[in-house]
Amino acid sequence: MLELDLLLRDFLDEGYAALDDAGRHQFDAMLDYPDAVLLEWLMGRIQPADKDVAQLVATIRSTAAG
Amino acid sequence: MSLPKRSFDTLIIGAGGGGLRAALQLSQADARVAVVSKVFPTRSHTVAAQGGVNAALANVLPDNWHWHMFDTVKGSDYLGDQDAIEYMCRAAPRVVYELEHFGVPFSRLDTGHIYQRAFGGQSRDFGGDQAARTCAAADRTGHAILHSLYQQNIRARTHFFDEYFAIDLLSDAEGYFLGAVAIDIASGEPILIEAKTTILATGGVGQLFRTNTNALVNTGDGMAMALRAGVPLQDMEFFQFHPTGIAGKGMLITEGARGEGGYLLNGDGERFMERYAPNAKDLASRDVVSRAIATEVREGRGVGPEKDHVLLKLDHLGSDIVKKRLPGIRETVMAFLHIDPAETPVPVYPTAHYTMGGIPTDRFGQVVVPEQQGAEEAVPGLYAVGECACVSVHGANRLGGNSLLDILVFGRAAANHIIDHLRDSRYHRPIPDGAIDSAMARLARWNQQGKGESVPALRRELARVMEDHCGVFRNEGVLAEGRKKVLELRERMHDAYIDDHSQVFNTARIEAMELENLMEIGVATVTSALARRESRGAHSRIDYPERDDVHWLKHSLFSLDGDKMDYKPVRMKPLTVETFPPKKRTY
Repeated sequence: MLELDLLLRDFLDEGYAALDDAGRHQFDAMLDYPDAVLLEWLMGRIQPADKDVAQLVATIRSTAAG
Repeated sequence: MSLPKRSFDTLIIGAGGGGLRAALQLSQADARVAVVSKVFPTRSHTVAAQGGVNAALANVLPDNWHWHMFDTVKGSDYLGDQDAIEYMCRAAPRVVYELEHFGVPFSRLDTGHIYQRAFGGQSRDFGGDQAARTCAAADRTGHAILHSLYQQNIRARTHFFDEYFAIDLLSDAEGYFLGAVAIDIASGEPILIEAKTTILATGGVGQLFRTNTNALVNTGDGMAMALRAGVPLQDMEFFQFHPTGIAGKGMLITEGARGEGGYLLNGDGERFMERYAPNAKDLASRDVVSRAIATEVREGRGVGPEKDHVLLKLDHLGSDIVKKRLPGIRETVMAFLHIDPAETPVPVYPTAHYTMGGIPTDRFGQVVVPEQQGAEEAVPGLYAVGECACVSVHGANRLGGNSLLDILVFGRAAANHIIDHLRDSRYHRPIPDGAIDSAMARLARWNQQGKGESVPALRRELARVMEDHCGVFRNEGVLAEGRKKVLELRERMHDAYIDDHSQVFNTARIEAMELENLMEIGVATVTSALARRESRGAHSRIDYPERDDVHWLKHSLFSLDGDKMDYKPVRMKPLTVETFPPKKRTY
């Protein structure tokens, strides 16, 4: 869906390169979640229970181009 | 040249709701089915459909399929084919119950029956009181349908080619379609997928416009493959727009924002809707608001460095109201623009949403083309379903809740037709020498080294031209200039190159082929819009503001051969009931 396409594309362009190996693995693992879950997280409606995922989601949200 | 080959009874290109519904029906009938999808199936754009599925179940208010049919014919501005619409509305309850059995968790009433919500355009008793016809799984109907259908397909052993991109269809000299050449995006390896029947189910083409609500994958690949294979595209001038999307990004800001007291401002800070609709102002109908925004921008009163949008002002409502009554809009704006609409006005522009036109089919999903100016004939072995097809049940405008219904009913109908066909076709027809040549040439073309036009820049330019010249503001001059510009862009594609010639996960090459597809469809859309000199449904011409049933109650057909237009009659005769004759449309 468009919302995820734009948020994740912006992150890949602007923020992904700054992740370390563990962060990149985590990003990869995060993408296994269904679109509806990712959308809730990235729109800030729900906080991921896992602290590391929550941190990654916050980074992606702040990277989205204004 | 020979390619690795896989053989199936049916090849389905596209794994949204239409493709998966067809695949399931076929796999359950023991056909060997392959589904090719350029994204993982559950990422297809059906996942984004929030509204629901229309079916006259009469669980909340009295209803019947005939009223649903009336609303759909009227909504189509009488351009919908009434035989297909009758078929769809009668089949609707059945496909909803089937979905329920596949595991879709529909929202329910206290009695346990499926809950149905009221939507615009739904009436009781042929235009009377509001009906409640839309079955939904909360606000995730598309998501629930897509996941249920995917899981059922896994159970039924449908074969998936995930992250494969279909390049072109294969056919023989007698005009039979025999499958397609696709490329494994991960390895870059091409493969020939041989099939007795092929279904195109690749969805819409919202990416044709700069501001649109569609996923980035919605590039009309199936429509363009059909065009290149000699099939015309039908009614491409009919594209549904919403008046307010986030400018340049496309996400929808619902009418609710203006319903709560939000209003639009131009670059001079003027509340311009007062000039266009002195009474209704910002709550005027969608097409009036859309055209007013486009007019302000065209006449130089836009906002921003490029003066290419207007502002939706909500901050005067106060932070409490915005947070309480418009939380979803606030979330979207904050996530994508990093501004709080309770404090700062939101840049908006009309956003392209739904492709009513597409590959012409009959109500069995068979692709049909006019035969030498005579009656339509089915193209042997080729089917199309869903947004990429034009059955035509939506005609000049689609009703909310009818698009999920369309993909389910006609995905199933196409599969049933194919199951009958497969009984008489035990063997694959031979694939002639040279059948894959044009597909392979299309692929090889992007391996050429050189310096020239940039693919992403051309895509941005095309989307801009389409928005400016074939969006909501249409007249002869604007469209003619738009057509000229799109034809020039298509020429410039010959001089486009990509820098990345690697095999593994070469997304630049996929994007280049997507742009080729968009270019062909751009020409089809603007040519069809220029030719139709009337206003009907979503196609609104300032220079021809009225519907003209005498000259234009007919379907457009655009062919790539000579970029020519042709026309065919609307099927006004339903299957069992009386025709709904054209009337002036009022709501």
